[in-house]
Amino acid sequence: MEGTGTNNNVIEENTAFGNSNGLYLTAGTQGNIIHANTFTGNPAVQTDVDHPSDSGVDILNAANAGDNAFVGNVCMTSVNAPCSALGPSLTASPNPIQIAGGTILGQTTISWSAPDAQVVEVHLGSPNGPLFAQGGSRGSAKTGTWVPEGLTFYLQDVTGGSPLTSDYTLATLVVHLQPAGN
Amino acid sequence: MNRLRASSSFACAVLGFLLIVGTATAAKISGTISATMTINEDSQLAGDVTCTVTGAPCISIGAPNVTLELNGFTITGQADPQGACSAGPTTFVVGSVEDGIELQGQANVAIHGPGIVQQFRGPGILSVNSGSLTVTGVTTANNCMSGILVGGGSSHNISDNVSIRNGSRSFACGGI
Repeated sequence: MEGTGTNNNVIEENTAFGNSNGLYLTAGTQGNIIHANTFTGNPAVQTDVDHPSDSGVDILNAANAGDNAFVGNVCMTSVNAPCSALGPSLTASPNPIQIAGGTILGQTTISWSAPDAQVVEVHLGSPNGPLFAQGGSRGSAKTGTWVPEGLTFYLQDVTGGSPLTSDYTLATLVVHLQPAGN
Repeated sequence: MNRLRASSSFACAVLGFLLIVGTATAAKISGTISATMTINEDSQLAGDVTCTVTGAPCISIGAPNVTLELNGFTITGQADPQGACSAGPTTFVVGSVEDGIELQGQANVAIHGPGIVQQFRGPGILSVNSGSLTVTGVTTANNCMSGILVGGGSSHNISDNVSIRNGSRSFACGGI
């Protein structure tokens, strides 16, 4: 939707995926209600010359914050708009980690999604524990073989320099070890 | 929000040099369109449509209170679905961009799916300074600009549509 004067419209229950952007509101749009849409995989996961992976988001709102209403949309990435139907998540694969007999440490891959955050960090043991990974609103990182039983990972929102406190903890994850054969 | 109903008339006005292959009247549209078809009254697709119009819209809605029913058919433009939008337009000029369905300054127009608008070198559907436009149930795919591009106007209802792989490196507009 483009430009000043594109006002008071309803964009509802649409699905957009694999586009350059899912929904694009240019500067000056006002009073539009964006409700219950599903915008995922924008830009395209399967890229080509027209759909590069290095640009685009699910919702790109170039209008002033608050000038349009975003309610209950599913999205993974956005600018100036919430993806309220999807909360932050922190997962490990595998979890539990299968380990051989006599081994007390394991290896896994940590993945995160924090649609409303721009910069996140993953810390070990506490919100301000050792830094494991840093990135944007989506990402993943593989650990070494140093994960003990019960290690807790903390997904921290550090957008704008937010402190490493529990107030900015988006999600936590406990990783378990499981002896092979059990 | 206006919800539009088709009226009883299916007449259609045709402007320009229009060639339609495989259709008897403009009210029931199908076949190949090689020059912009302007419809001024309620119309519907009676079969798939292939557009060979260059540098202009395929179907232009030229009057208010017009409903276009896609009836489950497909309107296909000239873009390469495998990522050749780089060969498409480098500028966006309303009226000379290749879009599937275009309306300018019209009120109470409705475009109803199910149906597909695909492979246009411009937007799939373009509305400029219109009012109370309804687009519902339409799939837009592989268009080099937006699937549905609304510029100006108010009280539009864009609902229950699906947009897939629209936009390009030059025009990263979006599905909607």
